[in-house]
Amino acid sequence: MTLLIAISAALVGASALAVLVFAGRLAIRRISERKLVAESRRIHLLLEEARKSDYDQLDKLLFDMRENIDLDVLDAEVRAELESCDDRLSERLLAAVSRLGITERYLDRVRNARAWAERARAATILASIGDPRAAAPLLEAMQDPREDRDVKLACAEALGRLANPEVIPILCAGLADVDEWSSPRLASVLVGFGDQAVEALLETLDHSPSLNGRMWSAQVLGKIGSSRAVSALLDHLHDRSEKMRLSVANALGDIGDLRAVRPLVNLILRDPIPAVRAQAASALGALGDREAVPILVTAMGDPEYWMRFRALEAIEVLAPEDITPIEEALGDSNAEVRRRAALALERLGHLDESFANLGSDDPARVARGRARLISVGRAGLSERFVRHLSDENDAVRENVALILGEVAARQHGPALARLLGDDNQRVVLAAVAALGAVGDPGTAGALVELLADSREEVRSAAAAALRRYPGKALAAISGALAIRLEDPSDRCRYHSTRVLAAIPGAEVDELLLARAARDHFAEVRLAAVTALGERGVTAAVDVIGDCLGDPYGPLRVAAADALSALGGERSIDLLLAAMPQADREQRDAICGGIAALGFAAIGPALDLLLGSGDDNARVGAAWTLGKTLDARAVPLLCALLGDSLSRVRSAAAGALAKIPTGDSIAALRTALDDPNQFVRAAVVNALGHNGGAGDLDALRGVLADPDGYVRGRAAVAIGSIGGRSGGERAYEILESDAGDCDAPLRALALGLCGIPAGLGTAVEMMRDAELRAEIVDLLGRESPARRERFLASVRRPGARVVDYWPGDDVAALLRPDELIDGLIDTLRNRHDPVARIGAVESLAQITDEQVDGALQGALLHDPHPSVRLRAAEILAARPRPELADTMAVAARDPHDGVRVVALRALGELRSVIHAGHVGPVLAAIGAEPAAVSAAAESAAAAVFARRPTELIDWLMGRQRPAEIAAGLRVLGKIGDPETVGLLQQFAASRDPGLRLEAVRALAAIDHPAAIAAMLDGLFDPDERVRAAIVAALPERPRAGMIERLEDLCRDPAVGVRTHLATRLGAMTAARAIDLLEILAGDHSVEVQVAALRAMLASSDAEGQERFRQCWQRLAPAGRLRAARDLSVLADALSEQLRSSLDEQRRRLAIQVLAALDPLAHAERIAAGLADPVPAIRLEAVRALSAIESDLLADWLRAVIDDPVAEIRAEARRLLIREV
Amino acid sequence: MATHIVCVDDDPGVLEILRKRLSRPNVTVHAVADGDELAALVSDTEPALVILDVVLPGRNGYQLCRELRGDHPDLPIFLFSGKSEPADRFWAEQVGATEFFEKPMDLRKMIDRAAELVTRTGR
Repeated sequence: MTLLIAISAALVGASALAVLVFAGRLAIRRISERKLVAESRRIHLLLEEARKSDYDQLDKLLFDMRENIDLDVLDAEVRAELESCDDRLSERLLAAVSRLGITERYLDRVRNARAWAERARAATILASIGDPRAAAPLLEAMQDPREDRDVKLACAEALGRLANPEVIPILCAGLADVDEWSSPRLASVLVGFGDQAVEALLETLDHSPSLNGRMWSAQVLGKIGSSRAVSALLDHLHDRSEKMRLSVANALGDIGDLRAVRPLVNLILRDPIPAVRAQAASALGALGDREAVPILVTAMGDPEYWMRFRALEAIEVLAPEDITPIEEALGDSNAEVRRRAALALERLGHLDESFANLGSDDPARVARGRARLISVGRAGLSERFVRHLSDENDAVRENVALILGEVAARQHGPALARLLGDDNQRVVLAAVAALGAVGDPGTAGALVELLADSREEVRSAAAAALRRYPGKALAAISGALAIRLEDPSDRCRYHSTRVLAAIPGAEVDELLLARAARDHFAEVRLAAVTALGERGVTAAVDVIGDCLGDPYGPLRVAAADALSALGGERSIDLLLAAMPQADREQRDAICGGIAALGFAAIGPALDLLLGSGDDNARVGAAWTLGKTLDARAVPLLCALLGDSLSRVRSAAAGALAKIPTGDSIAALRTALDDPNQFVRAAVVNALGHNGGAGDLDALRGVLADPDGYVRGRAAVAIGSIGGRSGGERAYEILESDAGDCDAPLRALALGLCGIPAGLGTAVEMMRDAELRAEIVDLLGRESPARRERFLASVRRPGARVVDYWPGDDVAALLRPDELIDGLIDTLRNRHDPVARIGAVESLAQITDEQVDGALQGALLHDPHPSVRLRAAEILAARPRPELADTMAVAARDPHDGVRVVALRALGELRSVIHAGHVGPVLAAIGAEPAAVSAAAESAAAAVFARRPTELIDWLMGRQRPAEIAAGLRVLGKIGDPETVGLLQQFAASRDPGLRLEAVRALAAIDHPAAIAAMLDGLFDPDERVRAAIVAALPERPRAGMIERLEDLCRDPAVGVRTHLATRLGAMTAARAIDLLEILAGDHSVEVQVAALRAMLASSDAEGQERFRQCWQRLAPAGRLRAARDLSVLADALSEQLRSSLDEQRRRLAIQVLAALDPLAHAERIAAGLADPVPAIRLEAVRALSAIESDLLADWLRAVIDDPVAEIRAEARRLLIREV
Repeated sequence: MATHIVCVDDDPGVLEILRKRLSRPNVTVHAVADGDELAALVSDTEPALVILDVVLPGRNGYQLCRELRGDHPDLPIFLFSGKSEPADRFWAEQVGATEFFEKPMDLRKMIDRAAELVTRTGR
């Protein structure tokens, strides 16, 4: 116990002691802190006082303080003073600090303090002191491999503040370490060095083995903004690492040097990594070069949304005045891009402008404003619109309400509901419509109130709006609506009924059946019957059946429809019972209704209809069958196609159009030759709706129908099929065979087939006001689908969004100027190159100055080569003097095809082109590829035809052999005898290629001097040159030429001798045959054959005679080989035998054929037996004597009774031999 | 009165050689790299000789020679070229060059001829 008490006392004592110690220390610390604060304040005041006297007596003051004041406090205050004093005094203060020993204190600590944090702090303080002596130990610390990384970084930052450039290489080397924390800090220090760091950074950029080092050096160079770095950065723009490319693009944007524009454009076009492309777009925006805008617009079509986002940002900066691409971005598939576009429009002030437009008297401005704000609202900026609901302009309030309805943002329901009490009825109607679109449940009650409004438009609109509300929201107001069914106003009850119809539930069914369907006002009954049918209330069949005979026509039709919807035997009975008294509309409804019940269910109806002697009933039967859309109806309809009444056949064709099966289409094809033109037109229409590419040929035949209307409908059908199945073929048919069709129908067909060229033709046709009126009238009678397709394709070829709405004014939609503007707009602004090419094809059909201007713009500026190429081709086909400038620019296009077309066009424009246009032509002479050079050569030949000297002056200053050779070809094309002297010099060139072109050029000049100069090259060492000369030898040789050719018969090259033989065959000179005879004895079979062939083909008898002689001298082996090649000439010989007027030649033909191969050519030789000249008949008999053939006897019978005895005798001898 | 020689060549090395070799106390050599200002220079200095390289940026030696010859029928014009085609010599004659020299073989010969011509004309 005592022990316990002792222990307790000891514990209490110890605790009391501990508390005392703690309290004591706390008290001491507080006293110390107070003292330090007081000291600190005192020092601060003293230093402030000293500063006022420019630190006069500062040393004394500091040393006094050092004696009396804690050094740490003094240190801190002096450093604070150092940071706050101005540069003029800092040096004096720094000297005093140094003398005080503060700098040394930290110089020592930065290397020797034990804790890394203390060393890092010392480095930071040294930087704040700014004493240059700190550089050495800081550097030493940085280079120490054992030093902590954070200390090194603090040293780096300190050195940065000291601005000691020695540290730069070390900092650059430090960039190589992959460290997310230190890399940006090192980079920041380096940025502080500015231009001093550029060399070291470029070295790191080019040679660092570390990606991190290269990447960061690029970024630092960008932040420094040194234009010296641009070329080095551009070299790394295609680095293998995407991170590097990203950094470089970023840096180039930071530097802002315009040399980077083109490489960044290329990066946008070609880099596979979206982030790199996006960065390049941002950089282009930063460069501020408007030249980049077209490519940024193209980049708006990039599949990667981030790329589009960045391109949009750049476009906003570079081209704020042209908001077309920004507006298009409002329809982007990505929500962020859409919202960014909306914000851009807001920033650029276009939203305010759009709101102002809403109050305009100009409908076009209102429409523009409305369209833009709808897009902006859909992009997520609709909250900006609400304040305009209280605009003082009625039209603005009305339109803003409608726009909010279009945007359908539910959060704006209460704001719209406040407009229901607006003084202006149009505003109220707009708010009601918007509420219907928004569907905010909290606003349904307010609309129910409006059902009792005194204004019918408001009541009707409120009902329509309520019907659009979600069912759950409406269920809550069904009680209020039921009360409205008792309202004394007929219209109020009507609208309430229509709203109730949209609310599900048996209670509502009961209300409709018990009250509304029995209402005294017909339209209420109509609404109820329609609703009951749609809701499937079978209990209502009899009530509805009563309405089949209602005096109100629409109600009778609605009752038929409702019963059809309800189905069941009772319904069918009621419908069939009503049929005999039904008018046309009701019968149509009954037919439709019965058909809707299904093919199997309509047997009794068909019996009734088909069995009727009434023609209209058979027409009704056809309609009903068509409405079933059932393939089983096809055989019946095919039978009706053979009906005696043309109206029935037409109806059957129309019905078959609704059931596109193989059988129905086959039946329609057979009906294409129906005797009645209306039936043929109906059949053609049906095929237009359902036929496929396989029907195009059949319809093509109908384009020659005797009836003009049928021909026109066939064209429309072809266009419709083309629009569904790829219109190329349809367009070809229309272009070639639809010339006899009525112009409006042809325009409709061309528009429907959807081929850009066809659309262009249709637009061109609509420029004729009368024709346009006819087309508009025609469209009004077409089916809505067909009308919509035509309008959509003509208004926006290749459009993704159809901007036509049923109910729009068709005539207004087809204003030719607007259509052309639309095409031009597509060409200029659409991102999709296919759409732009389509626009070009359409514009090709339109002859208009504005169009030409747009095409020239596309040729010069479109980024897609195919667009430029087509524009060039179209413009080249319409050569006008004004085009020369454009074509001269296009002749330097990067796309070879465009260059070729432009160069050809410049050649066509030779009479108007001047020195400025000639440059691109000359630049392309001798260029690669060959097609470009060839086009340039033709153009140059045309341009310089009358002044070849100018061309030669230019040519002689060229160095590349390819250019000179091409220039020589141009001289050949020009063919001016004045150039012979120069060409002769080139024919003696050391370059065989130039010699070849020179002799070819000489050959092309029709002048004796040129031929003489060419022949000088006959013994050129190059075989190609000799062969070219031989090939160009004239058919009428000049004096002495044949003698010179004799030596060529011994030319070492087989090719030359072969060419020579062929060429000699075409010559008229008698000596030519002598040379051929020499060549026929050549050791080369190829040359022999060429020579023999030339002799054989010779037009004079001497040649063929020589052939015969040479042939006989030829060795058998040679004959065998040659015969194969020469047999192709047998037909010519046969023809010679039959038709030559020259007896000698006919005879020779027999001899040559016999010499070649008598057996193979026996039949040809036998033709000679009928020759009128006895000697030839005898020659033929003798030639045939060399062969044995079963046919010989038959052939010889022709001459067995020949009047010439010798022939008879020879023939008989041969016959006896045969026997 | 000083005598002037105008040399046109886009090769600074060749121009330097011509300047060194043709300069005399009373002879000023004008060395230019292209023919842009040639007509004006010739009008201003009335040179005793014009030496034209054939291959030049912009208009070439033949074109320049033809232009000069139109206005200065008696002016001695030497054309020299690194190309050694027979056609070059032929065309030099056509454009009215006084003499044609090939580079680099004829460079010394051309300088001698130029010096001789300048001495003979005494201008």
